[in-house]
Amino acid sequence: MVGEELFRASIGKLRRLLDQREISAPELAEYFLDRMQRHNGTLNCYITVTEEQAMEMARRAQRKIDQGDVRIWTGIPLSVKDNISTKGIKTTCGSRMLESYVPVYDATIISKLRRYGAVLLGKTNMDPFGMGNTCRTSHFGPVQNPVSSGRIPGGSSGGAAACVAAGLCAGALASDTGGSIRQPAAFCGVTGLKPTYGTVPRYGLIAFASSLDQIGPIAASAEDCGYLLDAITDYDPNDSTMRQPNCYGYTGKVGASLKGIKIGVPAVLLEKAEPAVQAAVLDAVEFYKDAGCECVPVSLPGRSYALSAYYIISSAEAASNLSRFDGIRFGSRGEGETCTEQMKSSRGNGFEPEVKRRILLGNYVLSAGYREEYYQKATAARNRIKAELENALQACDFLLSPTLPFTAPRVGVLEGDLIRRYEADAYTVLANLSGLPAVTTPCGYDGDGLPIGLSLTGRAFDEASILGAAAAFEAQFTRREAAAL
Amino acid sequence: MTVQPRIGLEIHVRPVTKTKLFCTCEAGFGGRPNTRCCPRCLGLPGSMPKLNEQAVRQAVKAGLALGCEIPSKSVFVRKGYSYPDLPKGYQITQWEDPICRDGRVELSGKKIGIFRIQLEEDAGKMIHDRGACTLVDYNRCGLPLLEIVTAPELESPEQAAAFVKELIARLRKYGIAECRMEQGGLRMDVNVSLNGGERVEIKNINSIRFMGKALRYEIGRQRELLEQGGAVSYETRRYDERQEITVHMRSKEQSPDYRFFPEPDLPPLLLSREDIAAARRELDQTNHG
Amino acid sequence: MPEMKDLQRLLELSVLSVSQEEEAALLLDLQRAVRVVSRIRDFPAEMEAAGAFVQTADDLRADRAYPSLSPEEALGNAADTACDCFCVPKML
Repeated sequence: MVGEELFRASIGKLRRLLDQREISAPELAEYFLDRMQRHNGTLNCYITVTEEQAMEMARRAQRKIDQGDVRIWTGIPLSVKDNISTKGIKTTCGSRMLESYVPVYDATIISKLRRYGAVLLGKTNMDPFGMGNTCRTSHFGPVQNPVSSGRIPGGSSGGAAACVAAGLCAGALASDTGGSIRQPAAFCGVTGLKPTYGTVPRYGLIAFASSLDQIGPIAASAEDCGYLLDAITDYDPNDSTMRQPNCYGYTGKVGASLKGIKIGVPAVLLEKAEPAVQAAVLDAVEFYKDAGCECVPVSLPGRSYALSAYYIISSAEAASNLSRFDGIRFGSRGEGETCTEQMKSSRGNGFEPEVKRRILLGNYVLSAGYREEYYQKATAARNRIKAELENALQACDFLLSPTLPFTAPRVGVLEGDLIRRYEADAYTVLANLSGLPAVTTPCGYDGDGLPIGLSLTGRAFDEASILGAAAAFEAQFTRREAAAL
Repeated sequence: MTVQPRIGLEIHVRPVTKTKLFCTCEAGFGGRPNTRCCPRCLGLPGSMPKLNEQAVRQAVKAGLALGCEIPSKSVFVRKGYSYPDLPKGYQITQWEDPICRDGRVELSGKKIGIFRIQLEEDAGKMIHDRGACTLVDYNRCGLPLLEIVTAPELESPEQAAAFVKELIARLRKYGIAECRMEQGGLRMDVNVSLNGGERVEIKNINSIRFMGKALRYEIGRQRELLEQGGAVSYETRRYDERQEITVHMRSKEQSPDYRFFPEPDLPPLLLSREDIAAARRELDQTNHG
Repeated sequence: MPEMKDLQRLLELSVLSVSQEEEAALLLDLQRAVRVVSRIRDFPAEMEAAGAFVQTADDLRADRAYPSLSPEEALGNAADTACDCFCVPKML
């Protein structure tokens, strides 16, 4: 394979090239580091490029390859979202608050990746603390969408999605709380997966909303996402919210027949989408029907409470999770005559505006006199929405819908409009509230050439089915490459 | 004027464990500062709690020793407030679903009710006397605490002292807690009201002697207030050891808003009958009397 | 709808100090956010069944000590330390 085309290779293909000694792990790492050097200045996907460590990891990986001690991801160059703790490597969460913070421990997934010879290229850019869906608000500057510079890449994992779309890594690890993997993956025209809550250890993921956060992969294909999911699931005694002993073989249904599979289609999600999005998703429905699937209608009446439930629960948990940032043990420190003044200054100066908004909202919905009306009702509504989705998934194998009702907005449109920005999460939050796995893959392009995301939401712990079904679609769908390349 | 005091106690004891409540740091005392800390008890970003089974067992044993019911399900919550010795900005504790409830201790023929026993984590230690700044040592942070809350059924400072002595004796006898007050192993908040009126809370009393003095002073203060035609309103006070008086700290309106909500990183704890039976067997076998 | 006094109470709870201009902007944003989440108040108040996930005694951690961080690691990210401790402005 010609050097210039390596960024188009799947993880499976790179594995074969490495194992057949057609390329070495250090050569592969250098190849991506070189691409990063050429393109990151424009795209700003990476906050930190770990060149030396990447080469060191690549040399280690090569030794493993030489010994035949190999996993799928040994020697494969990956990027990691900058809210995942990496020992000795700055981890900023895209925020001024942590601009100099260097963790003294690795997140569990990083330990596992290191153990089996993955190569970490660097830490990707994000909206601060995961709060945002534009990736234009990072303390380290906005990320550019490789598909079109005038459009947002989406967030909060915009750096990771842009990285994959621009071929600046072979795969990316990111996090999703209300759509933070799937929305940027859809806007950048790549594949992204939010696994079932409790599948991937969260120990070391700097928490935004503990009951909603989940680490997941972004890659060029559903199969690659499956390999990356194998790489990061693990039984972790440190995480009390793990709900499934680790299982592997998430690519087990890639290539499997779709005959007899029942697909649930919530009509309301289609109806509210833009015409181009509707058309592309309906085409995808036709593909699945031709492949032998049966489509059944699904109604989700509780859906109308999803957005409010999400913003209440996520903000409440975030306000609490972020109360540890007081400038005493880590983080940017402010000024003050008294301890309280200093803490207030540390936080007032260190947190970006959206972070402050969420903290205030979170404390509002938890404070005395409001908790019953807001937080408790949100919890009840969440349980109802979860039950409705699980119920629907008893009559079908997975749900199909647009990932979002629109394509990537122009830069500047969402950034100044809080209500529109929050409402943009309405589709993606369903998977987080219910804990169910959801994958997005491109299924079309609108009149401006912007990618349209198709979302498949599966039963709990059944990532294999939705990855298999997504892979089947991808096999016959011609993807366009990002113009920026 | 004759007064009928009603006294209730909230007693924090440190159960005997090798490690802290939610992390694997050693549960020691003293020593060089910040040498028994880890990402969890320091509240470093990305850390998550993992509950210590021995702390749970000690809590269940304490409940059995004090005649409590052990509900099968108990829930941990976050209690949010800001203070330098509280690294996460919240304490993981229990609230509406504690690990033990509805117990009783017989004291000279009188039954004193135990409302609840909850399991929670301790905070760090602040050192104020070292020059220009205040120093914070997190060695103590994350150690387990059992908070034992009695019904307000104690009727005199003497009875309160006798109760605490009986409690200490039982906890020591069964190897549940050593109650070494000089090591912070037992701390008390004391609530007292007169003649069925509003109660006043006196915080952070760490000896039985001081508890007696604080109660006698406070009962006198409230009686004087009532004799002058005034009324007692709910407030939090602290005991000043030097002047031997209680001093106003904050009123009801100034009470912090703790914003309790269930700890999302810890699923509710389900104890089986066998778990409780095992704790009872340990109780029956231990006798450090 | 929250008013300025509510925002100020929340700023205290949130341990945040901001400029007066920022206060005004945050109040408007808080009101917008509350409008988005107020939909939940229409949700019928019945208690939904709690989640099925629990932890049992088997899920708990054995009471075994493992090495702690060194003081250098523990203090390494702090802006101000002295005598092996973290420093904060003198508290009364």
